[in-house]
Amino acid sequence: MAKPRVAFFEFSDCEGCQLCALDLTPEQLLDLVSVVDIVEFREAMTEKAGALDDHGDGTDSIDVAFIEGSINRESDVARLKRIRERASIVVALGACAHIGGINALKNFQSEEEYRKAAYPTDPYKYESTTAKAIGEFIKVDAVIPGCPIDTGEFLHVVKDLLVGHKPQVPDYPVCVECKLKENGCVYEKGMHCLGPVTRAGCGARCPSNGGYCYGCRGLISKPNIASQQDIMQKYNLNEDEMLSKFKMFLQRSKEVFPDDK
Amino acid sequence: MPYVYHIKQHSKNRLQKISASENLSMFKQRRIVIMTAETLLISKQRLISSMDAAKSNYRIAALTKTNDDRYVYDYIGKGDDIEFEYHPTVIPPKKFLFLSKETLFEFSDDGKIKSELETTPTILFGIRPCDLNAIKILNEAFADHHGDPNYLARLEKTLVIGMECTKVCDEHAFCYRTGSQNAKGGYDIMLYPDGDNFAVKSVTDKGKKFVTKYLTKHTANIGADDFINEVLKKKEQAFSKEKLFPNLDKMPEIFAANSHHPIWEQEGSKCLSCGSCIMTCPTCYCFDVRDEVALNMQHGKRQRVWDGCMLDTFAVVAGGANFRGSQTDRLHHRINRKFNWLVHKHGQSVCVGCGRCVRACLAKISPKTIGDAILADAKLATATVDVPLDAHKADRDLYLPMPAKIVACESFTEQEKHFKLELENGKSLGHDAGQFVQISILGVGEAPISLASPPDNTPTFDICVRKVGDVTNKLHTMNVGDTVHVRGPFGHGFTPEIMEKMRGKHLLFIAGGIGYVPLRSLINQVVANQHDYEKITILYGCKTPSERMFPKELSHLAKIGGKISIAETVDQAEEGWTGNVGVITTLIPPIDLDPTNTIAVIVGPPIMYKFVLKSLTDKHITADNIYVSLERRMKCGVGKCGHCQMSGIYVCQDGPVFKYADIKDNEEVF
Amino acid sequence: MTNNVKIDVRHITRVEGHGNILVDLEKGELKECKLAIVEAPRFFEAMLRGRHYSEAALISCRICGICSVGHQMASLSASEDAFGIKISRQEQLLRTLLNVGEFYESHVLHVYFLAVPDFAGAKSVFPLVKTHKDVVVRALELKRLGHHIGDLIAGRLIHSVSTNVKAMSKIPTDDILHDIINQLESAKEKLKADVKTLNTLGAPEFERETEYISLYKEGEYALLWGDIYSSDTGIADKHDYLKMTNEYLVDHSTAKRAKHNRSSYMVGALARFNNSHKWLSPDAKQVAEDLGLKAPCYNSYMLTHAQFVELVHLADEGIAAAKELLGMNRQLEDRSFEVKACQGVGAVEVPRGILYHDYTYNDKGYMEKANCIIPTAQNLSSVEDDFRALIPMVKDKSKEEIQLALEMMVRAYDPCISCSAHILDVEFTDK
Ligand code: SF4
Ligand code: SF4
Ligand code: SF4
Ligand code: SF4
Ligand code: SF4
Ligand code: FES
Repeated sequence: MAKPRVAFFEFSDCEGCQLCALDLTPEQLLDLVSVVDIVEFREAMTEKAGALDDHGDGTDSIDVAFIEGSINRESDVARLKRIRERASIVVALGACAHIGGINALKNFQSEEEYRKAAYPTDPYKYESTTAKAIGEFIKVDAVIPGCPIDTGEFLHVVKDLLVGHKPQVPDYPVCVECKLKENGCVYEKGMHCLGPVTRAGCGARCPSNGGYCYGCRGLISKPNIASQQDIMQKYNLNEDEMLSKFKMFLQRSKEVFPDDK
Repeated sequence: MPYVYHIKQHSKNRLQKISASENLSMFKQRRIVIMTAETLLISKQRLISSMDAAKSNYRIAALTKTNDDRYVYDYIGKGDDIEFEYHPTVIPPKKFLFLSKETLFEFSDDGKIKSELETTPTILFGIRPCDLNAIKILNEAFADHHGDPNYLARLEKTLVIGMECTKVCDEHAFCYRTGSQNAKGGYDIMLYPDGDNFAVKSVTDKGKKFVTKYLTKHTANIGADDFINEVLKKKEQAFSKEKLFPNLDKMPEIFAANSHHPIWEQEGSKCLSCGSCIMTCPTCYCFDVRDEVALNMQHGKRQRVWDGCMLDTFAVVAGGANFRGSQTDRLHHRINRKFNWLVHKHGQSVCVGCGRCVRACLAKISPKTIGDAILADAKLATATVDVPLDAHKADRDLYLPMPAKIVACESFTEQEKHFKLELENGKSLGHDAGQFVQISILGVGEAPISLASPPDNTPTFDICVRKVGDVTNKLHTMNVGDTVHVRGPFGHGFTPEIMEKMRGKHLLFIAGGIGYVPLRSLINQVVANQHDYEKITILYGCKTPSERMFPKELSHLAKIGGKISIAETVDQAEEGWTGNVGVITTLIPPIDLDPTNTIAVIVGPPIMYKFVLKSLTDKHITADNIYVSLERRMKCGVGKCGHCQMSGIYVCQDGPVFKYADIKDNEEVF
Repeated sequence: MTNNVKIDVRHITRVEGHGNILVDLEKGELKECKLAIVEAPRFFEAMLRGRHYSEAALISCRICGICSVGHQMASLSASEDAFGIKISRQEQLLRTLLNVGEFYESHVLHVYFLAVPDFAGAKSVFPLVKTHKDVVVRALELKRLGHHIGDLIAGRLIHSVSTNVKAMSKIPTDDILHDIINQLESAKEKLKADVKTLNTLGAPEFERETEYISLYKEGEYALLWGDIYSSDTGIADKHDYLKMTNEYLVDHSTAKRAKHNRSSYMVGALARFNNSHKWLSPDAKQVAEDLGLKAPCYNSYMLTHAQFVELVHLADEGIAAAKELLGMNRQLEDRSFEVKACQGVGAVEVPRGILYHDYTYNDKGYMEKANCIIPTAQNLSSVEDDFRALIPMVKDKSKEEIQLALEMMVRAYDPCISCSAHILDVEFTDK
């Protein structure tokens, strides 16, 4: 059986997720290249799969495209669609691609406001629109959530795709993993945590390391937002502070910000 | 059989007495002091050094403090690491017996399967009464009907040393309300603390052997019994202010009567489905089963991981339907497991009041609040039949599937494919019509599939598979000569007793869509023996003509005539369809039947039942003469994982074939 | 050769982020020479506005995956400068360790995965799995070590979770510290084994003397604290960072260029090496000598070698920090302090050079204004000046060779375009 052809692409992002995907032990890397052919990975290799198109990408068809980054300007949409056409399976790699990521934080400000804050002297020089997830433009077959992704979960998804599984990421909240880690809840330590509505899979990384969950893996499919808000209020957050918590990563989530574009 | 060890050593007489007194005061704070046990006194320092000595032969888990000041049960490096003062932990000591993640077996790409059971001798030290009661309940549950090999092997290698509580640990615990502050079992040795001294009592052979080997040389036994009585007296005083739940001994009946109490919605609506409660509960034992392959794709393992009914997707079947879609339904399910459905089975409240779920729940949903609200309302109803405990020894092969070859296959529709499988061991499956098997594709997973062929003595059997999930999708790509793996047959099908009851009757089969598959085994069986029955009527409804299963057989059946008649209908006609169009219930009124001599069997999608049952009632067929076969999410197939549970019933074990009369009052069925 | 060459490299590969090179040679004359950043701008300064001080590091680290810790360090130090917080010795040591993790991940990625394939004539590290398997295995292990240290000290390396203004929210156990010491010791052995590899591969010849800017602290190879130092003009206070980077904030009409004393300056490992080499650990000095790296070094291609030397030095620094922590009574520190309206600057060395964060907070501790100046942005002018010095040396070669030489030059700088993108788009049009 021919090895599946795998490629990596990125849009607006920090490339942290690709770095995590590459955070492999030597055995893992050798195993990985024994089961898949990495045909395009701009950050790590010069070759492209096929002749170049006008976005600088290859043109050959690929089996799996891992796409990192959110879409922040009109001109990226065409490129994204081209990649979709080339790939049988598209996987959103990381929060930027999955839910717009940290980039969507700017969406809370007016265009003029955010442009001036970063480029005071020439605010309209660069193209920029509302930051969006890739799934808002193309069909996405699987997601690997997180900012950044978890390397173990990345390998899981690769394996799932190889065995012909629909890749599954947990659809239960971070609290499940937090309890398994035997953490005391950070609400008792005066912090506020989005763990009860955020999708698990990170091993409750933040609460287990002295932090709190800010929702980088996105919401579970049926979050109880009202109850989450009651809890935050009970633990002394006013309305603004509460909303501010959700803003970090959840701007694109209709359950929390139904009116936003 | 370690799960009954605390009573095994007594004479039959004594045993009867104990259980009689147990029954009388099932929930009273009564302690069974087992006088045949050995009692000793020992100092804390000596106890610690004995544990250090035992370390050469055992690994020891005990309450200990982490470097970031959390209290956890963990394996300790030395006796000094043990915390003797109790501080509630997030995760109960059940994690040492029922691991949060464990391997059921390993497989390689050539289909070889290998399983290993636990062999390391382990001591669980200083386990408190609530958790001991929980261990007792788990011991019973994992041995019930099928002996879980992994759990029971580990239990056999484990020595449980309990420790009495002399005060209520914090404001969240409510062991005293569920009658769980005294251990009813689950331990080999009990420690009774008073300051820096302990009385030690061993209640099992395992415990006595341990005491003899590691403790006796440091101890005196004079006065030990008095010491124990003193400790217990102090405990009784410390707990004297606390009250049992009202009507504790009628919990199941009261809960059964209060399924629509407002407390369910009130508490349920707050629930985040965050799963903290089930992860931390010492008596939750549901699990999920997943295959994991190595990155090089050459080998893999099947693992089970903790799962729980409060999570949104717990009861979702492959087709996507969620049998408990709301938080309220799920909370109702969880609490009823604790206070209702499993109570008779275990002879005690299955919530042991440890308070862990209360500490963990941000929405502050507590079984105590719910218990108080509902038990105050002493309305009674008949509780769901609790199938009594049926203890079994570990079954080494319980989770190990057998290889089977595909010897024939045929696609009926885009979605459904029919396979004839042959067990490689040459044995016959030995199933009843209506039973199911678990089909494995190693690396992908396992799925429950109804048997489609009638019982026979050959090693071959038929299944018909609809493409709805990973396993079935993969199966559809497989062909003659490929190997799959099989466990089973499982469940309660059309047993010889039911077949006997059907003899001489008019049989009315009503199938919807793929529901024809599980019925097919029965239909073929009765058609082959048609002289035994008065009449055979088959009603079959599909969405469209192209979804009809076994079309050739259907037209064959239609041709036989005589006492066999078949009527079909489709919701939507397609070109070439000349038959009925309309829902299946339209076929029922015209049938000529004598309700006293008719047995109806229904299998179809969930929404079909309600309407068909109504039409049958209109025809005066009683619930005693109706059988149904139900679909639920299934993982283990043997009554352990909890996925298929509806009210007190495990569909995988007590079903999928049910007499309608037995389940019609079960609130989670339709 | 006709000497008419047009090079247009879309999306330079093996760098972090998207950049294009545009060079136009007409009859051997350089017509156009342009390194354009095509990454979409991300507006971090805007995103930071209105956020609480406790989130500033969490947000700003997402500017760049590979300099994530560096952004956190700069962010924390800006906030601490603003609120007048002095961090404890324990905190200094923990940050030092985390920073060692960051440099390992980043430098190893650059040296072994991005640059070495160039020197070895390969198009990526993947074919080297066959030809240089031992090197690749060592490289992966060294890179993993960076992540490993990050996991142990701060929950993870990329966008770490335990870092906070004033103090970490996680304290390593003895076991963890011993583990880190052992691993860093074995890392040094691995590095020494690759001195030879690097020497066999060599580096292209090139020389251009320029101004080198880095942090500087007497007695220390300064990374997380210190003053700004220019090889041309000497020491400056970090609050004067605008003067050191001034040009491109003023001259915004056509081409924005970072410049201080000359048309461009260089930051990064080579600048640090040139300015602070005397504070390197003895083993690091030895490795520098073995690699033929002598201060001052004017060959930009040798930046890779300077990074390699830093890896050895950081192993020693990490070991020393872990040992000192082992001897301390480590505990979680109180993280409260008085919040007031204020402004502060953080300046730290990240793998690619000096990084500045400048924050203004209101009296509730919410961000009013943020400014981040990223090393790659500072280096872009230097790359372009190097292009211009390089082109006369290679202009008679084939187009492919010229292109490769230019790409290698870009890669030698280890540019991190994802971070630079939000701050400026550089158009180097030759006038
Ligand atoms: S999801 Fe986070 S780590 Fe991944 S690319 Fe986006 S910002 Fe970077
Ligand atoms: S710390 Fe967060 S994730 Fe953990 S239990 Fe509390 S709310 Fe849930
Ligand atoms: S705990 Fe929350 S914020 Fe942290 S990694 Fe997990 S999902 Fe992301
Ligand atoms: S339901 Fe709650 S209180 Fe009862 S045993 Fe489980 S965790 Fe303990
Ligand atoms: S812990 Fe509370 S909120 Fe979470 S699932 Fe359980 S009952 Fe619901
Ligand atoms: S209990 Fe596991 S499937 Fe029924």
